[in-house]
Amino acid sequence: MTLNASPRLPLRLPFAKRSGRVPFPNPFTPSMPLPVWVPAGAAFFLDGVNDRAWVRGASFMSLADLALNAAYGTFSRASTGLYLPTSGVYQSFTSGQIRRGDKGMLIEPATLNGFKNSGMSGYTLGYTGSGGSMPNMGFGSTGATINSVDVLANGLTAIDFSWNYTNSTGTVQYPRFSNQVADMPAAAIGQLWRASAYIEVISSNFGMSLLIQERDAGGTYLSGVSAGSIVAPGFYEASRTLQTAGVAKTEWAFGPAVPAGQTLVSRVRIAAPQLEQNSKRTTPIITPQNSTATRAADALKILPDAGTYNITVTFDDNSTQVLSGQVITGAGWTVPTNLNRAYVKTIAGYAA
Amino acid sequence: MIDHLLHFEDKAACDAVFQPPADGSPAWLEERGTVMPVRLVVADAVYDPELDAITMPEAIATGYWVACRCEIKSEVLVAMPECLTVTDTARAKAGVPYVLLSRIASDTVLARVEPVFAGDDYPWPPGATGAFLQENLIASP
Repeated sequence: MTLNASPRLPLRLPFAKRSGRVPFPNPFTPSMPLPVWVPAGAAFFLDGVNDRAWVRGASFMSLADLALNAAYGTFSRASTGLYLPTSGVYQSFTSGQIRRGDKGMLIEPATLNGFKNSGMSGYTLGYTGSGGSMPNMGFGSTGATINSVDVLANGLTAIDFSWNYTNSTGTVQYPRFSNQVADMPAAAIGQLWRASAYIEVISSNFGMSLLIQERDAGGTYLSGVSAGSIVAPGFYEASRTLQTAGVAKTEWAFGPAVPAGQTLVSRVRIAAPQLEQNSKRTTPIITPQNSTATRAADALKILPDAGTYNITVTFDDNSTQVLSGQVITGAGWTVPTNLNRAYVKTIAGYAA
Repeated sequence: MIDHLLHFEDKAACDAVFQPPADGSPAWLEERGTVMPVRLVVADAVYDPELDAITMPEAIATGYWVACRCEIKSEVLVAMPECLTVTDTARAKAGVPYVLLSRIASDTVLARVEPVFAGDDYPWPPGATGAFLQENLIASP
């Protein structure tokens, strides 16, 4: 008696969740109906929110599994990286790990944070004029009292300091919390720099701004201040194209203008200061004491059948970007790191 | 991850081996691994706040340096005479011998490598010499 005259069914359904690293190509041909979660007509589909992918007729029940099957996809990022889910608490991902969560996958270019010690290590509490210190950072001639170093609700480490200063000079003064002059990154005229940080002004009798300033090779302040703005609750950002002849260093600076005869009384908390050369701000890169640090690019590559595709990218805010006429060869297609937004919900490729 | 530190005479010599992208990216992925130009800081700049000026400029090791980070040790890179050290970041973090290769003389003072790949500080202490690397060589099986 023939027990099984029909073709054998796969031992596991193609869409079943699995935990191993064994490839799980879909046994059906691409002419068979697509999985219900793949858009009609799509030739390939990456779902960053639900962590699954469909490439060349094969289902992958996680993006990590896709990246482990070199015939279908690869992933590389030679450094750690942070991810901000909707909970608002940063998650850390190790080297080679796809940054993914409820906002989708995070795809960013290689970026250098030129602000040293953004992780706030090696500090001594107290007044900076008498023992208190935070390596790689300074308060100029006014000094400040470093009260504590704490982990904020978003998971980043912040310096908490009190800043009290009486301006007895007769002219307006500009106290600044900044990266140390000797630690400012090299820069050149025409370069676009971007400063950012989580900043909480707990109390202050003067308004404060995040600024980018320009200095010459000897560290002398030149000119040119681009005042930043608060782009999200507690998050400041400023950008500036350097424009002063002789500029050789970039300064990340935060502070008020104190009129003659006035006294500043304030308390401020700052986390993850960042100084980067990018057209868009990227997620925080935590730098160690005495060094800048580079977050390598998120290089997610897929290998659909060679051809020409129109690719629709859907972002975390549900906006979309269409990449038309993408010619994909046997070498595959790497998700661009200069998309309209960094958090990507889905990527759907359609034969053009 | 495995870091290979390479020293070239100048940028042109380096560019003949590694091809940096035109966009000036601080690091890039190529077949051999992720390549990041670095500087070797021999002495930090000294700033005098009273003068608001740098009184001693930063001292940088001569030549052109790159760190190339790979999943595994690259025999292609190791075969290049420009490759001076090969280190295992995971072993360094674990506090066990982590040096796979050192071609640095034992009395050479090691400079600070900057920038670092995010998440990993460079695994030798300030002021260490090439002897430190020899002491941290992974014993041959």
